[in-house]
Amino acid sequence: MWQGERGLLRSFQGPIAEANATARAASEALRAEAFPEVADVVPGARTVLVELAPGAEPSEALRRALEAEPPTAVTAEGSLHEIAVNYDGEDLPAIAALRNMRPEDVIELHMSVEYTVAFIGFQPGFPYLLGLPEQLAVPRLPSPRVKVEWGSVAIGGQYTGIYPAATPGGWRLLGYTDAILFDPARTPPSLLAPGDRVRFVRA
Amino acid sequence: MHAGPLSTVQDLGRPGFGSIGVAPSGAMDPWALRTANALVGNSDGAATIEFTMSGPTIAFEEDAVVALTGSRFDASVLRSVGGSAFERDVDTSPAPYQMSFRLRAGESVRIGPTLSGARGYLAVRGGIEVEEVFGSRSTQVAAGLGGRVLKQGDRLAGGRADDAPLRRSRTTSAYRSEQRVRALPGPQREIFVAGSPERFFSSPYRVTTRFDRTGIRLEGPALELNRAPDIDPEGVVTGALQVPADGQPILLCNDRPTTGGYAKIATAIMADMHLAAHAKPGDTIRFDRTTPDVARAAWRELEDSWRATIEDIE
Repeated sequence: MWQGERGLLRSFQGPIAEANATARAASEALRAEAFPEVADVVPGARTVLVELAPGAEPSEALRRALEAEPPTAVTAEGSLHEIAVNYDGEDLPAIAALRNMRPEDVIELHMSVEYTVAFIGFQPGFPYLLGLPEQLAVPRLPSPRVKVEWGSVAIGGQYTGIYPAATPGGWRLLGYTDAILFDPARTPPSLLAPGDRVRFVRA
Repeated sequence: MHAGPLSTVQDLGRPGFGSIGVAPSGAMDPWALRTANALVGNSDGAATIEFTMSGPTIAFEEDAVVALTGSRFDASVLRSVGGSAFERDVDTSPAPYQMSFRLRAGESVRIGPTLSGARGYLAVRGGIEVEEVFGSRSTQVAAGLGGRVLKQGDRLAGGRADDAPLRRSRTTSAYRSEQRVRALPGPQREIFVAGSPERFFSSPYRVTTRFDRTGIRLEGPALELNRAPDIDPEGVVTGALQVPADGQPILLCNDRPTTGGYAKIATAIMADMHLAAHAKPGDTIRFDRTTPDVARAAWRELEDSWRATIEDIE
């Protein structure tokens, strides 16, 4: 499917975890091909976006690669990261109230599972983590905050994530971490990569 | 220097890092940036200053060759007479536009409000020196990545005055307050109530005061949705028109997020984004439906006409 004249978007159906694994694998395969007319390859929750260079037409080879049976999702496990969190976020009481839980149970539940980095999006190094227990899925704020502190650990719908820099943001804040999610001078610049696993622990 | 409301260092941007959340950034009007660089004898993508609605005042500590392009602003050159810093002892003359000119050490360029569109560019022979981040000197304002947002009192390095010939472009650009921008429908047409896409393509949308390098919030006939506008977040391109729950479209620009979770009613074509770059609050944009072939041909025509502009520089 086209997004403007430069974006070629392929979506994968089915449960989000499987669809995401396929989107990640397709994204890696397309990037590895290094098609000359491609300016960027961006994985999403269940999509891969191929962005063409301005004015460029997609080659036959690229069209075939995009339509091809998606590669078997990578089975190798990504690296595991432990992120230490001070669970004193502004929205912790509201999240607990929305879910009829005690704040302490919200924290325990958030720490109880291993998450997978679905994709990096929104801002440099911002991870969208899949695996949030269903009881913790809360809608985004009706109106985003003008400024969210860097290191904020938050929940937005079915995702949990971490704000690498102070930006406007509409996710609900659970706590804070000192982890440096993004540093352009570091190799690689993003602490987390799609497919990596994350566990939250108490700081 | 005085900074102006939003003056940043920009070059042609850093495409190719969307998968780690890094926006392409770069000049909102890349053609004006390239022209400014050509006028002062820089390479195409040298770093320049992009200013918005009103510009900075910059005092030069050394001789320099500079050029102003993009929208026409109320700009002057200040030369102090008799060595005094007092205003009454300063000789003010209009700054040349679309041509390079020399400044001596101690002289200033003062860029006031715009006389037409939202953005202008100041190139200095030798380019502005800031650190490269991912191969670019562009500023990503929202993430605080790369480049520089100019602040009062800042000092910028760069520039190299020499005997390079001064140049003039015979092409001038006028930006209209009623702009037409071509767009392709989709990709989330099915989320919109029947008739919404037609309404989008037949109505003028007004530019609100919430316009920046991330996006331009537009106001016009509301685009009704079948359901909540949330979609599983997916990669977006510059020019995407996202529609949140209030039904008012947002045109995503160069500092956009790399992924978006709102339905998109259409995508403006790349060849017309430099026109949208000059839209000011209160201006209107009308989106004309077009096809991918026309969109790509329009980009190639733009490249050809830019080459002609450069050959025409004397």
